[in-house]
Amino acid sequence: MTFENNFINHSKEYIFLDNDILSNQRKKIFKKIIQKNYDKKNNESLKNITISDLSKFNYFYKPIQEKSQVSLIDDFNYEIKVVNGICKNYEDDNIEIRNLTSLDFKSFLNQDNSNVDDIIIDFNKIFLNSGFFFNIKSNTKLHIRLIHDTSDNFTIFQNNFINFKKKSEVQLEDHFNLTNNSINNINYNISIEEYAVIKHNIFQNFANSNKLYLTSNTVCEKNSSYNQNTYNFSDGFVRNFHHAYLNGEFSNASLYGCFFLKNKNVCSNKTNIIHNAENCVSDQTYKGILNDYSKANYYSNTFVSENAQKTEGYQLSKGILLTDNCSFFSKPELKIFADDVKCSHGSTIGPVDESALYYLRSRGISKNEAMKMIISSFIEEDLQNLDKDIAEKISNNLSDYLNCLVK
Amino acid sequence: MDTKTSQTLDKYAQDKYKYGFVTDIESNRPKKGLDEDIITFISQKKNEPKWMLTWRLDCYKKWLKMSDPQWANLKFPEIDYQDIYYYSAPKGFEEKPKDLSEVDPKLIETYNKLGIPLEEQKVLAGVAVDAVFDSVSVATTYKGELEKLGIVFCSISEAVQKHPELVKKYLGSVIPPGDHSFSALNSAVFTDGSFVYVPENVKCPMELSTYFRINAEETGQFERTLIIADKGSYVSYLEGCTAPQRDTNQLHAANVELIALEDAEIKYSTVQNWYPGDEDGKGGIYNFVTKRGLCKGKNSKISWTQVETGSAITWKYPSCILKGDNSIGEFYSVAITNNFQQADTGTKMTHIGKNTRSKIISKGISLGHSQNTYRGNVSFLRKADKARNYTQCDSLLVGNKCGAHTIPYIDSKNNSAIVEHEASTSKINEGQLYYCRQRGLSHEEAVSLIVNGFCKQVLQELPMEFAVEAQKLVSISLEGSVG
Repeated sequence: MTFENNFINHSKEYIFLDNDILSNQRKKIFKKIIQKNYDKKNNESLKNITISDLSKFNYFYKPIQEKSQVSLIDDFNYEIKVVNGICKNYEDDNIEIRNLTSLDFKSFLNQDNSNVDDIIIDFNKIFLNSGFFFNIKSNTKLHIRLIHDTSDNFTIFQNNFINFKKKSEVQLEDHFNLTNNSINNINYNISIEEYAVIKHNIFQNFANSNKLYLTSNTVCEKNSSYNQNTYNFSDGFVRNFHHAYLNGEFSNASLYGCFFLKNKNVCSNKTNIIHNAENCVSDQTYKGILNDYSKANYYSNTFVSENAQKTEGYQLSKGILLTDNCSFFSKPELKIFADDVKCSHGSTIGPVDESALYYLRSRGISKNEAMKMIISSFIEEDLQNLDKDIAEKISNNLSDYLNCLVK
Repeated sequence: MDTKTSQTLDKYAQDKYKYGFVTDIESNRPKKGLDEDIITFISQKKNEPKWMLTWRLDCYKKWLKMSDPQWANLKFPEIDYQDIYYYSAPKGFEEKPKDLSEVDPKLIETYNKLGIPLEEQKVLAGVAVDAVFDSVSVATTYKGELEKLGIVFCSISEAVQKHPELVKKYLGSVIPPGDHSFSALNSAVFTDGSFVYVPENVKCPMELSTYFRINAEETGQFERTLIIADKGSYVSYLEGCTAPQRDTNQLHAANVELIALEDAEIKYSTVQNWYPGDEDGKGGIYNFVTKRGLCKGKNSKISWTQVETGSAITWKYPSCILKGDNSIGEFYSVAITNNFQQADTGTKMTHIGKNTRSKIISKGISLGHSQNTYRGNVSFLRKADKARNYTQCDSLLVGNKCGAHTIPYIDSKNNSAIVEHEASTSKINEGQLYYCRQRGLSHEEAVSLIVNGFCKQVLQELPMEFAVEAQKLVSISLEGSVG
């Protein structure tokens, strides 16, 4: 079905049913998209996206609540199953979980991503059909596993709010358990209060027919810390766009990512860190390995506003191309308006280091083994900071990838 | 020629006397604004052959359909193309200052600091000078020497007359007129510029410079430069106004095309110091320049060096298309912005051939309320086996009202190509400043010394005399903003 038809039939459904203000806003967004006609050249948000995926898709959504659940593995260890965008309402001393309702209309409208010209977010606004609120209470120390379950053919347009209260210390894991032909457009709004320390691991591995557009907007208050790690092993299309705002002094944010592509996989990545306060530190590092006919891009951006003195901002992107048919595009941007800063970026794209390969070969290691060793050492350093079980999971996926690689 | 253009031509051939501008051009500028009449007028004034006029009109038609590129990180009011003179004949003596005492004393001061001889000062300031001027004769002696070697060095209008086959072959071959609106505009209305042809296996013994030629005739706002280095040749070309020209809010849209054939090398150096506007950001030149070099043959090399200190707005990306195998592209740049200047400058390296190499060194310095952006594009196409690029772009911020931005685009489609990019942004090192101050340098001198050191990697690429001037220019640009 075309975008126009989808808009007429599905833009007034589910959560914010018949809300006039919202339908007017949606109409405006709709007009904007139609007028601009998916201008790919001037819009980073559309890089590597197949336009027909947006202009023509089959909208399908039915809320099912039965299967979703919250289970406690121990007192501080939660496993939350989100089925087709719906989770189970739950509350205890540590955490409050509930689905988005029509009463949340204001927070939905107030989310600050109006300055970003992102068509995927516009789609999320128009077709929103699910979402949840997490409230992690102060002084808690938790480990949360979040499992996104999407059934066949579902189109999920989800908008989530996660609020980490003061001094909470949380490790959040996102797992995507997608079946077939699903479209997942998920937008996170994360707010981190003073002295909270958050680790966010995102793990993506799903079949070819699925599409995932994951966007996050994180706001960090004074002395808080946000550390995001994204691992993409998917066969399906993945778009990771992550933004972080350092609004309080002495806060820090790091956005890391690794992607492993083969066949005709495509992925699009962007990280964006905005320094609005003094003495903040940020780091953006993405690494990618591309094989066969795969294609990837990585945009990174550090913005330092006028009053954000004593900023430290670092960026790094590294790409390894294994064949002549894959391509990697990177655009590491620095926009700096304050003078007392230390900012840098580095970017490399190239083949596997010939001399390293030669060194290993000359010591009697076969070419395949040598390749495997070099590639796994490429991301090894990033795995060291991770928890044991997730590091293990990544190593397993990596060795699967490497086995496919060397036929 | 298609029927449409020939119809247009016929129309103008008939109309020519009706407007009557041919008769009284000697004393008057043509009217403001841009239309086909003006283009025909320019072409006639330059006594150009018919094919040139057709080409210009074609470009004009292309330009009409285009809008200005919007992607640059620059803020300026929309340019009113109908409010510009597209042909300005040499001004009459009565309009010019009679002697140096009538010239702005600030300007004279700057000239003195740059160490420019008095006679040259007069020319640069636009003082009416009689034909007895040393460098005119100097220029002619050089010209004779160049002719002996078979090097063609003349204005582009002259080249259209004398070497139409070369102009026809290469004009617009590197920068297609339809590339973007400024290139189309320039192609339609260019009034002057240089033409250089270096024949096979000739190493040009001296640095060619626009400077000498400007003495003879004033260049227009729309310059067009075409340099062709034939097989195995070498040429070094200097461009620029080494001293400020007092102009207010003018549009400059120059096009520069370089073509290096097999084993040839072209070195192109620019020191740009157009009027940057006053302390409040009023006036100044809008500098929209397209520079592109084509390494057409194997083992060819093109090297760009630029020092950008002037202009209210700089929009300039000297680029290299590395088509021939083993060809080399280089880009060295220093861009200093002060007061309310805005610069969006950088380069584009397109690797097409095998074993092509490119190197980019860019240094940006922002002061006052200025915005300085480096924008670079490095791309490896599928067949660019073993190609290599190294990019380094550093920015220095002085004061907290200015901005420094780095926007590189890196695209690799070949798995044996290697690209390395690094950039850093910081302020002047306190330790270095303290060290200099301790040794009795004033704050201003110390900053100037450190900035000069920061730029050294680029300045040393300039030809000797130019480098000395550029160094002084850097110090002058920093004046009054540090403290």
